[in-house]
Amino acid sequence: MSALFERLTRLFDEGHGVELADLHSDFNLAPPEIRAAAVLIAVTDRPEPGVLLTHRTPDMRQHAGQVAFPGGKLDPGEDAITAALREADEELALPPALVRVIGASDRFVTGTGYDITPVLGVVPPDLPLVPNPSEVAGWFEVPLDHLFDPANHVGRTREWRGRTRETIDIEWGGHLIWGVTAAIIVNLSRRLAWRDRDG
Amino acid sequence: MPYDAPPSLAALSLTEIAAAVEARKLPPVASWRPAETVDSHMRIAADGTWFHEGAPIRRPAMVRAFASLLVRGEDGRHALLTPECRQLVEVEDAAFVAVDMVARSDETGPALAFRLNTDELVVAGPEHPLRAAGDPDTPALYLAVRHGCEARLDRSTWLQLAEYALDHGAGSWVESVGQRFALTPA
Repeated sequence: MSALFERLTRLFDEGHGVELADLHSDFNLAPPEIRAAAVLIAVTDRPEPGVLLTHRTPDMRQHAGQVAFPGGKLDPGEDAITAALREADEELALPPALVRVIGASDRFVTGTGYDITPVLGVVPPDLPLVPNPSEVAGWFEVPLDHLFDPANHVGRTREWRGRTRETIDIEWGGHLIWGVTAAIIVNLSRRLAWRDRDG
Repeated sequence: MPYDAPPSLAALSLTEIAAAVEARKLPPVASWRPAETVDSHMRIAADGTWFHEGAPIRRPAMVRAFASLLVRGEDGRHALLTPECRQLVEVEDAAFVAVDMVARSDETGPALAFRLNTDELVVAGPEHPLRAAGDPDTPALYLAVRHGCEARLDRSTWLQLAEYALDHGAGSWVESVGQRFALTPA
């Protein structure tokens, strides 16, 4: 058994057993047609664990050039966990057999009409991941400590489709994580209480 | 990190080969001591093809990911290692196949570099010895890759090596990175 898997599982189970007010979601901006989607939050099993993030290809129709978790729309009949693993496989050649799934976290409805289920899992570190160039320009790994530190969650006001809205920026190593991805990170960090080392 | 397959071996200098070997980052499997052992239902055929539950794994990227976790224990059994689990893999001959070879020399002497079916480059030497098995008429050459796993030289690579040995000595041995390796079984 991996100590990281056990610790994340414990924090995940404890953190999702309570009501949390004010979790981020953009459901008030979403169109009436909502499509189900899933993303994989893959935590690397190393002494200082990291999280895998991708750069979308610059010419993608949606979310072009953005930093994102591996993920995408659910296929008919598919559940969120299967879809998240399939997308990570398609985008990064991350074998589903090497992901130990912990569970599905709070859904996030985007302003573009996706109902995203984040799936948390643990993966071996330093796998030779290969981006699929039609979907992903590249990938990088950010320390979990950095992502989950509230001091790194910087609130911003942006104009989006003629409306003013609050968003969050997380910077790391020259990468800017914002929008849906940053909001999902903040929600999960509130669930996991990762930084309460003695907790 | 985009993935760039190494260019054809013939185009590479010794410095470039060394840089490619150095740049490859692999999972730290030697630091893991998983308590659990299970069957992966995977098999690596003699030609290097991976099978899962009888079906070939056709995506090279998937094979590279699994191959980065391969170890061979002292009991001779191959396994995929993760922090939690040792998943046994059946290997028909060797876990890897060496599919190309190139000889380079610098001021320290000759170096023989091999390309594996997983696109990885390995330079024969003290850390990656060549081993000759089989019978003297039809020897089977193996190259130590990592964590006890070996690559079997395919026929054309073996012929390249034999030709190189004839051009650079008696033909019964080769030298790479300061070490001599016999090409016929002892």
